[in-house]
Amino acid sequence: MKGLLLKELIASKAILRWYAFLFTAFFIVGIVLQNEGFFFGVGVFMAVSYPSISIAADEKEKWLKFALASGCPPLKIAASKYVIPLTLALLIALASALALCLIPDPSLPWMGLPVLFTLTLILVSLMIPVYLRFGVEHGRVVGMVIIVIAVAGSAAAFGAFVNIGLITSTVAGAVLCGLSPLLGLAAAALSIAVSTKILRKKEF
Amino acid sequence: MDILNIQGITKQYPKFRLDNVRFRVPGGSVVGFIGENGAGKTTTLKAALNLIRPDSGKVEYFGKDVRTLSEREKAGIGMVLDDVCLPDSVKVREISPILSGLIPTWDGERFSELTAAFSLPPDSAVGALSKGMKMKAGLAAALSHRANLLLLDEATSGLDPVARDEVLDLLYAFVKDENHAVLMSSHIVEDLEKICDYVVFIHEGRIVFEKSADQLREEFALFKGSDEQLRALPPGAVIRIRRTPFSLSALVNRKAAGTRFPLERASLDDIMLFYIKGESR
Repeated sequence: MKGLLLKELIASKAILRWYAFLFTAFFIVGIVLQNEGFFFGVGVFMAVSYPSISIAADEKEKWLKFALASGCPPLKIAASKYVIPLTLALLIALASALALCLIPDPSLPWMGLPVLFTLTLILVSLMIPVYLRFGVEHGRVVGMVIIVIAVAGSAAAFGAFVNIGLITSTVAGAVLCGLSPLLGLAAAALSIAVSTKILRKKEF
Repeated sequence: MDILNIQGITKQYPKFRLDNVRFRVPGGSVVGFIGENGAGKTTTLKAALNLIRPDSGKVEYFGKDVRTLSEREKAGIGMVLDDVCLPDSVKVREISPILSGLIPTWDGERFSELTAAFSLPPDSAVGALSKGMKMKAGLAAALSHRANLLLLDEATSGLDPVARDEVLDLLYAFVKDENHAVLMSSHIVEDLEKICDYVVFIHEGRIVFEKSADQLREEFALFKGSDEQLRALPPGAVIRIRRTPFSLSALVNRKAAGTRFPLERASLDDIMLFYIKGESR
């Protein structure tokens, strides 16, 4: 797994640097404008679009074929594709928490953060198996739909929290929101299992 | 002892069929795998690497089905595929840390020695290397597995004659150990003639022959002459015939043809050409 992650980090250095710059810029603008929603969407988009960039590079370089032919188990290869997107999702959630501290009167309640994190995990979990199964080129249509759902979903979730304040108004609702990342992690675990199965059956 | 045993692999694709491919790669040997483009060489190597699922048949590595090999056992197979598969954005000096975390038997020192021997620039990204240099990087990686078996798919293509010679020397040294073997496909038949102990010829998905280098030299010969002379050869001697407006030649069985007419040595190129382009008597 160490080798797979190291390759992933080295190969993604440029894109991760670009992500960091873009997110920081949106974060600063969001803080200055006191509008945390400004960068939430960008953050989710980054985490969700990262797998397509990474898997497209793997396809071009035939890395997955090399890793499998070298004897690396499909489970390790599949799991390695989730580490960076999930870390990005976590970092974005932490940055969003920081934003909520810095903005005097944030429109997003605190309990919205775990839900956004969960949404990101679920979207990443949906996309990776699609790209591994159909390839990035063919899976792009599905990917586009998922990205649209990501943006629309985060906006809708954000709106729901702001306008209705439904979930956070009750203790049970708050507990539900707080525990929602478990749902995201379960989706990721299921997705890793599906991706492993895809790699096991895939022919190169 | 056979290091690799390919047992009746069959795989049906929409426009191609790999048909009951079977041959062995004995320990301490280099086996050349020849055939024209699309004959099934790469598909067979993929089956040996468990990258495709054959419809029937199996591949055994040291007597064990390749589908059931453990991570460590599979690391005993080093390979260079026609596309080198190393990430373009990774620098040559970064290959070893990556592969040491991927391949349990990785030998970093060996890799450093080989990259120095191949004059691979450590700070160059793999994507910036020429095709020949990329191939050398792939070979250095394959030879740093502490592997028992090397599967090389056109691994010497793109290399200049000096580099090819260096690679052949490395392969020759590698198979001095009876627990090591090489299966290599190449269009540079000259390389195969220099190094191979056995040759397997595949045509349209089927194995035409599997013979030792000595058998090839003893069995096959080239006849060049007239129609009349050809007719004078014993019936079982002529394997394939090629006619052009200006000449007639035939691939013959040296023993059966006898000594009545002068015969020339048949190269692997000749044998392939006659089998593919020639006609039977």
